[in-house]
Amino acid sequence: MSERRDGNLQQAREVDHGRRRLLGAAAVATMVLAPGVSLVAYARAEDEAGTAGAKTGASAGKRWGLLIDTAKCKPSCNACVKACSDYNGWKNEGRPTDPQWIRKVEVSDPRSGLSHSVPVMCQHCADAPCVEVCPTGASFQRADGIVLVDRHICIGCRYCMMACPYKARSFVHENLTDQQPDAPRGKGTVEGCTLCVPRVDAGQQPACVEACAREGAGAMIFGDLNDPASAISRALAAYPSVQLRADLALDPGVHYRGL
Amino acid sequence: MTGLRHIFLATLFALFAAVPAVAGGVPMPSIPAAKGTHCVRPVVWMRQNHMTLLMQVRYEAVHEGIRNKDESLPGCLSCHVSKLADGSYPAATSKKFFCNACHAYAGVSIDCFSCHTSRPDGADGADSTQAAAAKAPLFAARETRRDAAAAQAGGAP
Repeated sequence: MSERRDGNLQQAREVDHGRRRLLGAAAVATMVLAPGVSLVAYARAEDEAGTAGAKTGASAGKRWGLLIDTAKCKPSCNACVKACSDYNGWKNEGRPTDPQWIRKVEVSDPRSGLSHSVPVMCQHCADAPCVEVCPTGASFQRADGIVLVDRHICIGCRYCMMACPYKARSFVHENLTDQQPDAPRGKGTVEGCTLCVPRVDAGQQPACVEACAREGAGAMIFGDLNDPASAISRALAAYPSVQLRADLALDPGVHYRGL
Repeated sequence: MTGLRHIFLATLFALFAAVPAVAGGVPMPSIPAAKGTHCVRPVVWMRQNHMTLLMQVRYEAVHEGIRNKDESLPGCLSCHVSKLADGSYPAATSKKFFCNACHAYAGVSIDCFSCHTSRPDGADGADSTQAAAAKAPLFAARETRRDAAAAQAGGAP
Protein backbone atom coordinates (compact mmCIF):
# COMPACT_ATOMS: atom_id res chain seq x y z
CA MET A 1 0.00 0.00 0.00
CA SER A 2 2.71 2.43 0.97
CA GLU A 3 4.69 1.51 -2.11
CA ARG A 4 1.82 2.73 -4.15
CA ARG A 5 1.73 6.02 -2.31
CA ASP A 6 5.46 6.42 -2.81
CA GLY A 7 4.80 5.80 -6.46
CA ASN A 8 2.31 8.65 -6.52
CA LEU A 9 4.76 10.97 -4.82
CA GLN A 10 7.49 10.03 -7.21
CA GLN A 11 5.18 10.61 -10.12
CA ALA A 12 4.33 14.05 -8.78
CA ARG A 13 8.04 14.86 -8.52
CA GLU A 14 8.61 13.70 -12.05
CA VAL A 15 5.85 15.97 -13.27
CA ASP A 16 7.50 18.80 -11.38
CA HIS A 17 10.85 18.12 -13.00
CA GLY A 18 9.12 18.03 -16.33
CA ARG A 19 7.81 21.50 -15.68
CA ARG A 20 11.20 22.73 -14.66
CA ARG A 21 12.65 21.37 -17.87
CA LEU A 22 9.86 23.03 -19.77
CA LEU A 23 10.64 26.33 -18.07
CA GLY A 24 14.23 25.91 -19.23
CA ALA A 25 13.07 25.13 -22.75
CA ALA A 26 10.84 28.20 -22.72
CA ALA A 27 13.77 30.38 -21.70
CA VAL A 28 15.85 28.98 -24.56
CA ALA A 29 12.97 29.68 -26.92
CA THR A 30 13.07 33.27 -25.74
CA MET A 31 16.73 33.47 -26.59
CA VAL A 32 16.36 32.07 -30.08
CA LEU A 33 13.09 33.51 -31.27
CA ALA A 34 12.77 36.95 -29.78
CA PRO A 35 14.93 39.94 -28.97
CA GLY A 36 15.88 40.47 -25.34
CA VAL A 37 18.45 37.75 -24.66
CA SER A 38 19.44 39.39 -21.41
CA LEU A 39 15.95 38.87 -20.06
CA VAL A 40 16.65 35.16 -19.81
CA ALA A 41 19.53 35.91 -17.52
CA TYR A 42 17.24 38.16 -15.49
CA ALA A 43 14.68 35.42 -15.12
CA ARG A 44 17.29 32.89 -13.99
CA ALA A 45 18.83 35.32 -11.53
CA GLU A 46 15.36 36.04 -10.20
CA ASP A 47 14.74 32.36 -9.61
CA GLU A 48 17.98 31.98 -7.71
CA ALA A 49 18.11 35.20 -5.73
CA GLY A 50 14.71 36.85 -5.87
CA THR A 51 12.44 34.32 -4.27
CA ALA A 52 14.99 32.41 -2.23
CA GLY A 53 13.72 33.96 1.00
CA ALA A 54 10.17 32.79 0.32
CA LYS A 55 11.04 29.16 -0.43
CA THR A 56 9.94 27.64 2.81
CA GLY A 57 7.11 25.21 2.48
CA ALA A 58 5.53 22.30 4.28
CA SER A 59 8.14 20.78 6.56
CA ALA A 60 8.49 17.01 6.86
CA GLY A 61 9.49 17.46 10.50
CA LYS A 62 6.02 18.67 11.40
CA ARG A 63 2.70 16.86 11.75
CA TRP A 64 -0.21 19.21 12.15
CA GLY A 65 -3.07 18.01 14.28
CA LEU A 66 -6.09 19.02 16.32
CA LEU A 67 -7.27 18.18 19.80
CA ILE A 68 -10.97 18.70 20.47
CA ASP A 69 -12.29 18.71 24.03
CA THR A 70 -15.83 17.36 23.78
CA ALA A 71 -16.59 18.30 27.39
CA LYS A 72 -16.16 21.96 26.48
CA CYS A 73 -17.87 21.82 23.08
CA LYS A 74 -21.51 22.89 23.43
CA PRO A 75 -24.33 21.45 21.29
CA SER A 76 -25.77 24.94 20.78
CA CYS A 77 -22.51 26.36 19.39
CA ASN A 78 -21.81 26.35 15.67
CA ALA A 79 -18.92 28.82 15.59
CA CYS A 80 -16.37 26.45 14.02
CA VAL A 81 -18.73 25.42 11.21
CA LYS A 82 -19.66 29.02 10.45
CA ALA A 83 -16.02 30.18 10.49
CA CYS A 84 -15.04 27.38 8.09
CA SER A 85 -17.95 28.15 5.81
CA ASP A 86 -17.12 31.87 5.77
CA TYR A 87 -13.39 31.46 5.23
CA ASN A 88 -13.66 28.76 2.59
CA GLY A 89 -16.83 30.05 0.97
CA TRP A 90 -19.00 26.93 1.09
CA LYS A 91 -22.66 26.88 2.03
CA ASN A 92 -24.68 23.99 3.40
CA GLU A 93 -28.36 24.62 2.89
CA GLY A 94 -29.41 21.20 4.12
CA ARG A 95 -29.60 19.44 0.77
CA PRO A 96 -28.09 15.93 0.86
CA THR A 97 -25.36 16.82 -1.63
CA ASP A 98 -24.36 20.14 -0.04
CA PRO A 99 -20.73 20.48 1.05
CA GLN A 100 -19.79 19.85 4.66
CA TRP A 101 -16.11 20.45 5.28
CA ILE A 102 -16.90 20.37 9.00
CA ARG A 103 -20.10 19.33 10.75
CA LYS A 104 -21.38 19.00 14.29
CA VAL A 105 -22.30 15.42 15.18
CA GLU A 106 -24.37 14.59 18.26
CA VAL A 107 -23.34 11.33 19.91
CA SER A 108 -24.99 9.81 22.95
CA ASP A 109 -24.74 6.72 25.07
CA PRO A 110 -28.21 5.10 24.95
CA ARG A 111 -27.79 3.52 28.37
CA SER A 112 -26.65 6.48 30.43
CA GLY A 113 -28.03 9.21 28.18
CA LEU A 114 -24.68 11.02 28.29
CA SER A 115 -24.34 13.01 25.08
CA HIS A 116 -21.62 14.98 23.35
CA SER A 117 -21.55 17.37 20.47
CA VAL A 118 -18.52 16.71 18.32
CA PRO A 119 -17.16 18.67 15.37
CA VAL A 120 -16.04 16.21 12.69
CA MET A 121 -13.92 17.16 9.70
CA CYS A 122 -11.16 15.53 7.63
CA GLN A 123 -9.09 13.67 10.22
CA HIS A 124 -5.85 14.11 8.25
CA CYS A 125 -4.89 10.44 8.67
CA ALA A 126 -1.26 9.37 8.50
CA ASP A 127 -2.40 6.37 6.42
CA ALA A 128 -5.20 8.08 4.58
CA PRO A 129 -7.46 5.70 2.61
CA CYS A 130 -8.47 8.57 0.31
CA VAL A 131 -4.85 8.86 -0.79
CA GLU A 132 -4.58 5.10 -1.29
CA VAL A 133 -7.57 4.88 -3.60
CA CYS A 134 -7.08 8.02 -5.68
CA PRO A 135 -6.42 6.95 -9.29
CA THR A 136 -4.81 10.22 -10.38
CA GLY A 137 -2.70 11.26 -7.40
CA ALA A 138 -4.98 14.25 -6.77
CA SER A 139 -5.65 13.11 -3.23
CA PHE A 140 -2.33 13.47 -1.49
CA GLN A 141 -0.63 14.14 1.80
CA ARG A 142 1.72 17.05 2.29
CA ALA A 143 5.05 16.57 4.04
CA ASP A 144 3.55 18.04 7.22
CA GLY A 145 0.67 15.55 7.28
CA ILE A 146 -2.14 17.70 5.86
CA VAL A 147 -4.30 15.65 3.48
CA LEU A 148 -5.48 17.64 0.47
CA VAL A 149 -7.11 17.32 -2.93
CA ASP A 150 -5.17 18.85 -5.80
CA ARG A 151 -8.22 19.89 -7.75
CA HIS A 152 -6.14 20.61 -10.83
CA ILE A 153 -5.67 16.83 -11.09
CA CYS A 154 -8.97 15.60 -9.56
CA ILE A 155 -11.26 13.98 -12.12
CA GLY A 156 -14.22 13.80 -9.75
CA CYS A 157 -14.45 9.99 -9.55
CA ARG A 158 -15.30 10.21 -5.84
CA TYR A 159 -13.44 7.02 -4.87
CA CYS A 160 -11.98 9.01 -1.97
CA MET A 161 -15.45 9.89 -0.71
CA MET A 162 -16.29 6.19 -0.65
CA ALA A 163 -13.01 5.29 1.04
CA CYS A 164 -13.19 7.87 3.82
CA PRO A 165 -14.65 6.35 7.01
CA TYR A 166 -15.37 9.83 8.39
CA LYS A 167 -17.58 11.12 5.53
CA ALA A 168 -15.26 14.07 5.43
CA ARG A 169 -15.29 14.89 1.75
CA SER A 170 -17.88 16.50 -0.49
CA PHE A 171 -18.34 16.79 -4.21
CA VAL A 172 -19.16 20.02 -6.02
CA HIS A 173 -22.16 19.36 -8.25
CA GLU A 174 -22.86 22.80 -9.64
CA ASN A 175 -21.06 25.77 -11.13
CA LEU A 176 -19.86 28.18 -8.48
CA THR A 177 -19.15 31.89 -8.49
CA ASP A 178 -17.58 34.31 -6.01
CA GLN A 179 -15.15 31.87 -4.43
CA GLN A 180 -12.87 33.08 -1.68
CA PRO A 181 -9.35 34.10 -2.83
CA ASP A 182 -7.72 31.52 -0.53
CA ALA A 183 -10.19 28.74 -1.27
CA PRO A 184 -10.69 27.98 -4.95
CA ARG A 185 -13.57 25.55 -5.45
CA GLY A 186 -15.11 24.24 -8.62
CA LYS A 187 -17.64 21.92 -10.17
CA GLY A 188 -16.62 18.34 -10.77
CA THR A 189 -14.01 18.06 -8.04
CA VAL A 190 -13.93 16.66 -4.53
CA GLU A 191 -13.16 18.89 -1.60
CA GLY A 192 -12.77 18.74 2.14
CA CYS A 193 -11.15 20.31 5.18
CA THR A 194 -7.71 21.67 4.29
CA LEU A 195 -6.86 22.66 7.87
CA CYS A 196 -7.00 26.14 6.30
CA VAL A 197 -3.67 25.43 4.65
CA PRO A 198 -2.98 28.97 3.40
CA ARG A 199 -3.41 30.21 6.97
CA VAL A 200 -1.20 27.45 8.37
CA ASP A 201 1.50 28.26 5.82
CA ALA A 202 1.29 31.88 6.95
CA GLY A 203 1.80 30.84 10.59
CA GLN A 204 -1.84 31.27 11.59
CA GLN A 205 -4.33 28.81 13.03
CA PRO A 206 -7.23 27.26 11.13
CA ALA A 207 -10.38 29.41 11.02
CA CYS A 208 -12.39 26.92 13.13
CA VAL A 209 -9.83 26.91 15.95
CA GLU A 210 -9.67 30.69 16.00
CA ALA A 211 -13.48 30.97 16.02
CA CYS A 212 -13.77 28.37 18.80
CA ALA A 213 -11.40 30.39 20.98
CA ARG A 214 -13.11 33.67 20.13
CA GLU A 215 -16.81 32.81 20.12
CA GLY A 216 -16.99 29.24 21.39
CA ALA A 217 -15.65 27.48 24.44
CA GLY A 218 -12.00 27.20 23.40
CA ALA A 219 -12.45 23.49 22.88
CA MET A 220 -9.96 23.15 20.01
CA ILE A 221 -6.17 23.12 20.11
CA PHE A 222 -4.17 23.21 16.88
CA GLY A 223 -0.47 22.43 16.71
CA ASP A 224 2.47 20.27 15.78
CA LEU A 225 2.08 16.70 17.05
CA ASN A 226 5.78 16.06 16.46
CA ASP A 227 6.89 18.88 18.73
CA PRO A 228 6.80 17.67 22.37
CA ALA A 229 6.77 21.28 23.58
CA SER A 230 3.68 22.33 21.58
CA ALA A 231 0.43 23.00 23.43
CA ILE A 232 -1.28 20.10 21.67
CA SER A 233 1.46 17.59 22.52
CA ARG A 234 1.49 18.66 26.15
CA ALA A 235 -2.31 18.40 26.34
CA LEU A 236 -2.21 14.94 24.74
CA ALA A 237 0.44 13.83 27.23
CA ALA A 238 -1.47 15.18 30.22
CA TYR A 239 -4.94 13.64 29.68
CA PRO A 240 -6.31 10.66 27.77
CA SER A 241 -7.74 11.24 24.32
CA VAL A 242 -9.01 9.08 21.49
CA GLN A 243 -8.95 9.07 17.71
CA LEU A 244 -12.22 8.33 15.93
CA ARG A 245 -12.39 4.74 14.70
CA ALA A 246 -8.94 4.05 16.10
CA ASP A 247 -9.58 0.37 15.27
CA LEU A 248 -8.96 1.19 11.61
CA ALA A 249 -5.37 2.14 12.51
CA LEU A 250 -5.29 5.12 10.15
CA ASP A 251 -3.60 7.30 12.79
CA PRO A 252 -5.74 10.42 12.35
CA GLY A 253 -4.18 13.78 13.19
CA VAL A 254 -7.40 14.84 14.93
CA HIS A 255 -7.77 13.72 18.52
CA TYR A 256 -10.81 13.94 20.79
CA ARG A 257 -10.87 14.20 24.55
CA GLY A 258 -13.85 13.07 26.62
CA LEU A 259 -15.43 10.61 24.20
CA MET B 1 3.03 19.06 -26.47
CA THR B 2 0.56 21.54 -25.03
CA GLY B 3 3.49 23.39 -23.52
CA LEU B 4 5.26 23.60 -26.87
CA ARG B 5 2.10 24.81 -28.50
CA HIS B 6 1.78 27.49 -25.84
CA ILE B 7 5.33 28.61 -26.41
CA PHE B 8 4.71 28.75 -30.13
CA LEU B 9 1.53 30.76 -29.68
CA ALA B 10 3.15 33.07 -27.18
CA THR B 11 6.11 33.68 -29.46
CA LEU B 12 3.81 34.30 -32.35
CA PHE B 13 1.87 36.73 -30.24
CA ALA B 14 5.04 38.49 -29.11
CA LEU B 15 6.06 38.97 -32.75
CA PHE B 16 2.61 40.31 -33.56
CA ALA B 17 2.64 42.57 -30.53
CA ALA B 18 5.77 44.27 -31.84
CA VAL B 19 3.82 45.35 -34.90
CA PRO B 20 2.05 48.70 -34.52
CA ALA B 21 -1.72 48.32 -34.12
CA VAL B 22 -2.40 50.10 -37.40
CA ALA B 23 -0.07 48.09 -39.61
CA GLY B 24 -1.98 46.27 -42.29
CA GLY B 25 -5.20 46.95 -40.44
CA VAL B 26 -4.64 43.92 -38.21
CA PRO B 27 -6.92 44.18 -35.18
CA MET B 28 -4.99 43.97 -31.93
CA PRO B 29 -6.27 43.00 -28.49
CA SER B 30 -6.90 45.87 -26.14
CA ILE B 31 -5.10 44.95 -22.93
CA PRO B 32 -6.19 46.67 -19.72
CA ALA B 33 -3.33 48.55 -18.04
CA ALA B 34 -1.85 47.13 -14.82
CA LYS B 35 -1.77 49.13 -11.63
CA GLY B 36 1.69 48.27 -10.33
CA THR B 37 5.02 49.55 -11.56
CA HIS B 38 6.75 46.20 -12.15
CA CYS B 39 5.64 42.70 -12.94
CA VAL B 40 7.09 39.75 -10.99
CA ARG B 41 9.21 38.98 -14.08
CA PRO B 42 10.18 41.15 -17.05
CA VAL B 43 7.13 41.83 -19.20
CA VAL B 44 8.51 40.28 -22.40
CA TRP B 45 9.43 37.12 -20.51
CA MET B 46 5.98 36.99 -18.92
CA ARG B 47 4.26 37.44 -22.26
CA GLN B 48 5.92 34.27 -23.49
CA ASN B 49 6.29 32.17 -20.35
CA HIS B 50 3.56 33.13 -17.90
CA MET B 51 1.87 29.76 -18.34
CA THR B 52 4.92 27.78 -17.27
CA LEU B 53 5.48 30.10 -14.34
CA LEU B 54 1.85 29.65 -13.29
CA MET B 55 2.17 25.86 -13.48
CA GLN B 56 5.36 25.94 -11.42
CA VAL B 57 3.91 28.25 -8.78
CA ARG B 58 0.73 26.19 -8.67
CA TYR B 59 2.63 22.97 -7.98
CA GLU B 60 4.78 24.57 -5.31
CA ALA B 61 1.83 26.16 -3.53
CA VAL B 62 -0.48 23.14 -3.52
CA HIS B 63 2.00 20.33 -2.94
CA GLU B 64 4.93 21.94 -1.19
CA GLY B 65 3.22 24.77 0.65
CA ILE B 66 5.54 27.40 -0.83
CA ARG B 67 3.37 30.47 -1.11
CA ASN B 68 4.76 33.69 -2.49
CA LYS B 69 1.94 36.19 -2.25
CA ASP B 70 3.11 38.22 -5.27
CA GLU B 71 3.26 35.21 -7.54
CA SER B 72 -0.09 33.84 -6.39
CA LEU B 73 -3.15 34.26 -8.56
CA PRO B 74 -4.64 36.90 -6.21
CA GLY B 75 -1.23 38.60 -6.39
CA CYS B 76 -1.51 38.80 -10.20
CA LEU B 77 -5.09 40.01 -10.00
CA SER B 78 -4.29 42.76 -7.50
CA CYS B 79 -2.29 44.55 -10.22
CA HIS B 80 -3.97 43.34 -13.37
CA VAL B 81 -7.68 43.60 -12.56
CA SER B 82 -9.29 46.98 -11.98
CA LYS B 83 -12.86 48.04 -11.51
CA LEU B 84 -14.74 49.12 -14.60
CA ALA B 85 -16.29 52.57 -14.96
CA ASP B 86 -19.49 51.30 -13.34
CA GLY B 87 -17.61 50.17 -10.22
CA SER B 88 -17.88 46.43 -10.87
CA TYR B 89 -15.06 44.01 -11.67
CA PRO B 90 -14.98 42.60 -15.20
CA ALA B 91 -16.11 38.98 -15.53
CA ALA B 92 -13.34 36.49 -16.33
CA THR B 93 -15.09 35.73 -19.61
CA SER B 94 -15.16 39.39 -20.66
CA LYS B 95 -12.60 40.87 -23.03
CA LYS B 96 -12.12 43.64 -20.49
CA PHE B 97 -10.58 41.06 -18.14
CA PHE B 98 -6.78 41.13 -18.38
CA CYS B 99 -6.19 37.43 -19.12
CA ASN B 100 -9.10 37.07 -21.46
CA ALA B 101 -8.21 40.15 -23.50
CA CYS B 102 -5.38 38.16 -25.09
CA HIS B 103 -6.74 34.68 -24.64
CA ALA B 104 -9.94 35.48 -26.53
CA TYR B 105 -7.80 37.08 -29.25
CA ALA B 106 -5.49 34.06 -29.50
CA GLY B 107 -8.34 31.54 -29.23
CA VAL B 108 -6.75 29.82 -26.22
CA SER B 109 -9.31 29.07 -23.55
CA ILE B 110 -8.38 29.00 -19.86
CA ASP B 111 -10.42 27.47 -17.07
CA CYS B 112 -8.57 28.95 -14.07
CA PHE B 113 -11.50 31.14 -13.13
CA SER B 114 -14.13 28.44 -12.98
CA CYS B 115 -12.59 27.60 -9.58
CA HIS B 116 -10.44 30.62 -8.66
CA THR B 117 -12.03 33.96 -8.00
CA SER B 118 -11.42 36.47 -10.78
CA ARG B 119 -11.62 39.42 -8.42
CA PRO B 120 -8.49 40.78 -6.77
CA ASP B 121 -7.70 39.85 -3.17
CA GLY B 122 -9.71 42.03 -0.84
CA ALA B 123 -12.46 42.41 -3.38
CA ASP B 124 -14.95 42.70 -0.55
CA GLY B 125 -14.44 46.45 -0.65
CA ALA B 126 -10.74 46.89 0.02
CA ASP B 127 -8.85 48.94 -2.54
CA SER B 128 -6.51 46.74 -4.52
CA THR B 129 -4.67 49.86 -5.78
CA GLN B 130 -3.26 50.11 -2.28
CA ALA B 131 -2.13 46.50 -2.43
CA ALA B 132 -0.34 47.22 -5.71
CA ALA B 133 1.27 50.39 -4.30
CA ALA B 134 2.44 48.48 -1.23
CA LYS B 135 4.41 46.15 -3.46
CA ALA B 136 6.40 48.94 -5.16
CA PRO B 137 9.35 48.92 -2.69
CA LEU B 138 9.55 45.13 -2.91
CA PHE B 139 9.73 45.25 -6.69
CA ALA B 140 12.36 48.01 -6.52
CA ALA B 141 14.49 45.82 -4.26
CA ARG B 142 14.05 42.97 -6.68
CA GLU B 143 15.21 45.14 -9.57
CA THR B 144 18.34 46.00 -7.62
CA ARG B 145 19.05 42.33 -6.96
CA ARG B 146 18.43 41.52 -10.59
CA ASP B 147 20.84 44.23 -11.75
CA ALA B 148 23.46 43.03 -9.29
CA ALA B 149 23.05 39.44 -10.45
CA ALA B 150 23.24 40.50 -14.10
CA ALA B 151 26.38 42.55 -13.44
CA GLN B 152 27.94 39.58 -11.67
CA ALA B 153 27.01 37.27 -14.55
CA GLY B 154 29.15 39.35 -16.89
CA GLY B 155 27.50 42.64 -17.69
CA ALA B 156 24.27 41.80 -19.43
CA PRO B 157 22.70 45.07 -20.64
